[in-house]
Amino acid sequence: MRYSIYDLSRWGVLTALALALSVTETLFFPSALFPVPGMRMGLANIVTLLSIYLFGAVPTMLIVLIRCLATFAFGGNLTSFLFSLAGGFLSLFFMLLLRNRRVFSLFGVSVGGSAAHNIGQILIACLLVRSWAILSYLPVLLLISIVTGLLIAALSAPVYKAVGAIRPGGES
Amino acid sequence: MTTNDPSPIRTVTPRRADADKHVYRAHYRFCRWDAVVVLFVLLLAGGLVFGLYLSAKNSLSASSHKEAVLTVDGTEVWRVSLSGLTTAKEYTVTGNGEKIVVQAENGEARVLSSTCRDQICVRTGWISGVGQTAVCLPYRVVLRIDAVGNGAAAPSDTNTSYDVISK
Repeated sequence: MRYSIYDLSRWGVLTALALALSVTETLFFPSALFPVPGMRMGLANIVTLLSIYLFGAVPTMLIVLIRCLATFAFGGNLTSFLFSLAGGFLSLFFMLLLRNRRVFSLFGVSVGGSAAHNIGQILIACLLVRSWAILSYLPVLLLISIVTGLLIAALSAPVYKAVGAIRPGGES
Repeated sequence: MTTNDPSPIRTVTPRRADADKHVYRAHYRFCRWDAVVVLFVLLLAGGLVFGLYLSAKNSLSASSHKEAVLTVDGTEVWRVSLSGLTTAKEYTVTGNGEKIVVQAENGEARVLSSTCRDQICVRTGWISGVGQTAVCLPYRVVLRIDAVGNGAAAPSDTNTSYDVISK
């Protein structure tokens, strides 16, 4: 993969943005209102969504990986690290699949990614407690993920318009 | 152009001619294909609810009463029948400085208190329906309502499936 300092710095900026967003989310999310485990806005998905279009698959994988490692280093525990890793990569995988079909807009890709994020987290939770009982949370999480997915896409669209105008498109 | 160039310090390479084929541009208008994705997720959620409802109904019809089951790391540590309880029963799991107290009353059960950091298990509150759970992920503790009855294979079934998963 060939990349320039220009690319490298743009990846760095988006990684920092992803980190800031995920930390903000854990600090300020009113989890007392929603007694559903794993429920998140998924603000860091904004970065994944932008990155697969602006940079392509491989840099996005790096960004997601570094984001998970760094939040782990900033005082997360191993459980939440596994959760964000599973959710992050499953959602990235599905977002790439949807992107490659070219018929979906940011909204479709984002909703697919959010849903995959929740599915990944629930699967890890099932694995951790070694029971399928937690699967009963998934329908609620999926419904919420539709809303958050649409919201994330609505937030990403203006950013993509602005940034994409500088140098649109990402390879691979 | 580059192959004939003898200069070893050429740093800028021209973009591949087919580069455009690999470039993805985002559309940012909600289109009908996005509606397909949303519909698919809705169907998935609906199908899951239906499946869980069916399995809960099956196990309830073959049974006579409900039991609260407490598992830690997939192994069952406590089981109590929820019918005909006159006084509340409590059970405490301790270890590694962790403490989680579970309470069972007539027809319902809950996690009374836990030393975990997110308190989701406590906030779930009373659970009474078959298949409902209160989960403490940090401690890997699951409180579940099971349907148990005359000849129903439900408890042994769940136990064997745990074994399969844990191996």
